[in-house]
Amino acid sequence: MSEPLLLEIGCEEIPARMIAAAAEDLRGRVVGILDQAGIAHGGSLAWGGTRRLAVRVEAAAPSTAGGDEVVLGPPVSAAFDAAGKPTPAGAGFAKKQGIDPAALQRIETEKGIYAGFRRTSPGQPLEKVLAASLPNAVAGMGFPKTMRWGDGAHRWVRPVHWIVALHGAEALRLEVLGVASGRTSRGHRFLAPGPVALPHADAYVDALRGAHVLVDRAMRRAKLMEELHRAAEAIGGEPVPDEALLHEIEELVEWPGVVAGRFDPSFLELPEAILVTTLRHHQKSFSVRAGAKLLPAFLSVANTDRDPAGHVRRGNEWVVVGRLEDARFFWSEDRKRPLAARVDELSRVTFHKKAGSYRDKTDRVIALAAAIAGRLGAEVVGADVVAAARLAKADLVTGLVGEFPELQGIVGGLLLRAEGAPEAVAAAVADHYRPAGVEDSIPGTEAGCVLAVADRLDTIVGLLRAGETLSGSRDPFGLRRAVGGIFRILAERRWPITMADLFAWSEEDAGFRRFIQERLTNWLLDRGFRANEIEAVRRPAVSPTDFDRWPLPEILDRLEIVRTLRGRSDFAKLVELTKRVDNILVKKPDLPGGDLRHRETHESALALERSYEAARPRILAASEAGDFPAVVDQLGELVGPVAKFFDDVLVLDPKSPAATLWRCDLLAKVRGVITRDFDIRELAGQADAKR
Amino acid sequence: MNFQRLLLSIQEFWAERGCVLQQPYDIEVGAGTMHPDTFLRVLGPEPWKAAYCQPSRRPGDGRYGENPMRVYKHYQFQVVLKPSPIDVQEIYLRSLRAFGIDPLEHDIRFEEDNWESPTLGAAGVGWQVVMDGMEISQFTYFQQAGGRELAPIPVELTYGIERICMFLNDIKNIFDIPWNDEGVTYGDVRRREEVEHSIYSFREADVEMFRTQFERWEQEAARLAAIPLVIPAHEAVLKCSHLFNVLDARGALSVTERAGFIQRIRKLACQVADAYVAQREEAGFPLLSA
Repeated sequence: MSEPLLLEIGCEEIPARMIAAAAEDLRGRVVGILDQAGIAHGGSLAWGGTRRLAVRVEAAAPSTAGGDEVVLGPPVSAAFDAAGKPTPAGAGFAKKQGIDPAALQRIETEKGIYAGFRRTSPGQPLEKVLAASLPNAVAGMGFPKTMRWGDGAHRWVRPVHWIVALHGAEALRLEVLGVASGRTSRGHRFLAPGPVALPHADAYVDALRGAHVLVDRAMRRAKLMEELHRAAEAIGGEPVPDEALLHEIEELVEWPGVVAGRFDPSFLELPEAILVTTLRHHQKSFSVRAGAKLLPAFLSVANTDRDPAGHVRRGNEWVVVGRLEDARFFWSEDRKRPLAARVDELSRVTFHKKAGSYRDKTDRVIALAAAIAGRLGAEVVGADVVAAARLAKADLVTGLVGEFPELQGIVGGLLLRAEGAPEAVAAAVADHYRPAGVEDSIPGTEAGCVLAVADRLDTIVGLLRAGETLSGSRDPFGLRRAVGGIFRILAERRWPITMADLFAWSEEDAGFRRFIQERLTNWLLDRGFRANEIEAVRRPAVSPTDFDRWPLPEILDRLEIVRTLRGRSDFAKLVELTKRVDNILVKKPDLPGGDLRHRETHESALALERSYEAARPRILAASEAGDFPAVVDQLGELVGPVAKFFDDVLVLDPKSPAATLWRCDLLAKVRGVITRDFDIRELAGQADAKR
Repeated sequence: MNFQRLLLSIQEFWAERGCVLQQPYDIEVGAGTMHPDTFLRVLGPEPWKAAYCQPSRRPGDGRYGENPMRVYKHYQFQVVLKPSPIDVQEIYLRSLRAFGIDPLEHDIRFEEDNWESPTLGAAGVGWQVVMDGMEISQFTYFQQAGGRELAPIPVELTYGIERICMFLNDIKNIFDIPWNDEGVTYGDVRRREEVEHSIYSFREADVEMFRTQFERWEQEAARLAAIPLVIPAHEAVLKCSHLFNVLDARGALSVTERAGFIQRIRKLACQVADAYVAQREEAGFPLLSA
């Protein structure tokens, strides 16, 4: 009977960062085993906690399907004698297989005729399939780091302690990494230390919940959020949201609880970013806000929801206060000198061993920032940008950034504000590492954006020249993120800066050009454009550019237009017709000399000519004005006349070379306007293309 | 629980579990791992269990006796068990109970923290044990030492006993820890030493002498490892390691020079490890039958 299958591997504490991926890996492997063996099953789920990975597969069949099979023995010539009786070899085979030698048959195969027999196989039981395949599947799981333990015979992420394998109510017997399976799991390490016997696979989630373990990440998140809000409300505030921290913490605990701790209100004099970062960085704790202000309190997450003696709160307060004192010390030390006094110290901080120090980088970024500001014209206060570029990296040698590297830039901005620097300069320095990720926004000011682009340009050019590059998913220097940041800023600010400008600022570095072109295509694909749409825009009939000479916003505008063509049947028709034009023009015969003047009389041909003459100036004007929707509308007007032309007119008319020439010329002109701005022929078959 | 009572309880706990109760090594070390009863005994196939308190010097952590948490020298309690018992986490948690820590009153977690000692050619996988938000132990399954893959696998447990004692007594400053019940504090016993060693490490240490000494002990370590005189060679490596730490604290080493020193010490540590294993093998790995 089909029953749910439950597997759980119990082990010592798995690193939080690995749990979700490992559970999913295990699920994939278990399902793979079932599929390969031919065991029917339903959907599957992956669960995990600090001490366990688990997989549930719905409606798993008790065995493989089974069926008819042929068992072959020796060749007929060896198995039977001249009289057709089994030889000793034939009889031996039959005996070994447990059948009567008289039942041996002659079975023809591609390789010859053999002695053998047919039987109906009962199918392999699930237990046997898993026992044979699961141990290697589990041992082969892909963890970022594995270890050995004890006698060193096994290698896994952490030592394994128990295995649960249940098919419905039945315990399956297997051995994984030296541990025999059973129906006994374990609960929370401290709150429910005894064994947890599982009567049925269905009992897993509830039984573990009863033993203070939430195996489902979503359940842990729900309890965590509830506890955070409850604890914050009790002290009159709400938790400062921090999705990245939540994501990490929900894998660190199996039974989340929250303690609210307090610290001296005098620490609130620290800038908010420093306070919040101190709490999250060192203590994985949430800050608490009441209205616009932070409270002198924090929320720490524990792997227990009780604190009967107050130790959990007290211990966390102790550590938090120590950290806040460190932060306050650095904040006061760092303000003793103006940020500008630190710029020269950057000469002892290596940016890259082949690309010099951060002092060297600073000079390069100043020059780049000035060039970009110059290119953008007067609305940018170039002086602010240059001042900000000079100070941008100086906070790398402050105590605070030494302690909290993730506050780079922000600390520079805070110090500059504290010393009364112009707000435009402080804001540019504070923001220049943004966007820090896809969720983050670009710098809030024009100067900040200029500085951000200049810094990243220098990083990319410098690292590429130093021989660093991307390989597969590896991107140790964050080049992918850096170039993505540049693209986003160019696009969102709608700057008139082209890729050719970027190439010029790299001093026409060939590696940089290749890198930018390749990354631009990838970046556009990541934004949901299709490869053929990108090609259609990249290669218009009028001056194919490889995108180099257009500002990025214009590239995006054109792509957006092309994207609107998806699923428009009139355009599918136009694409088809344009390809037909191509096919005909290829066949255009070499025409003899003589008088080839042709006076067209065919109404459909004349109609197409009129449509073309009407559309052409409008398309040119719209294209010049960058009004691509209007271009597309005009192209739409041509669909009917072109279609009718093909229906009614014989283009390659063997009887009239002059008519052939005239009509081919007309088609070439029509094709010229159709493909002028977008080579829509690239979109052929798009309706079927699934990405 | 005062400091010396804590030390006595933890020693007693591990002595009762079959450990060789060792004493601190009498040469400057940065951590209990460098004691030959860890660094050498983890090598090769022989079983081993030892526990000891190791005063550990970290010249760069000196704070002139003014920081409530950081000190030039601290007392690290070290346990090494080879092969790692399958229930070692449970045993460790029972050792906390020996200090009066009831896990149901605390939040105890094992958070990923892999350990690496580039100078010893050693690396391990494990956790920092965090209690109520504070790191109280390092818990490491050694995977390599002296550049050699290990089998069986030893587990090393280290306790920051000052921290644990501060927490148990609700004390905010390390120097206020009661050493005994006679009113003598950690500060009474140790503060002067902290002040003087900080001054020495950061300002007074004779850089040229330390550099010369490093060269001499480096040559000596290589010579002794080749003979081989394993323990004297190991001690020469420990000398090098400490001399390096002082030079580093003194700010006398550039980034590249620093990496070079680490490589030089590592090379020696690996030579000593090889010599030790060869010596034990020649003796027929006597503890295998113990």
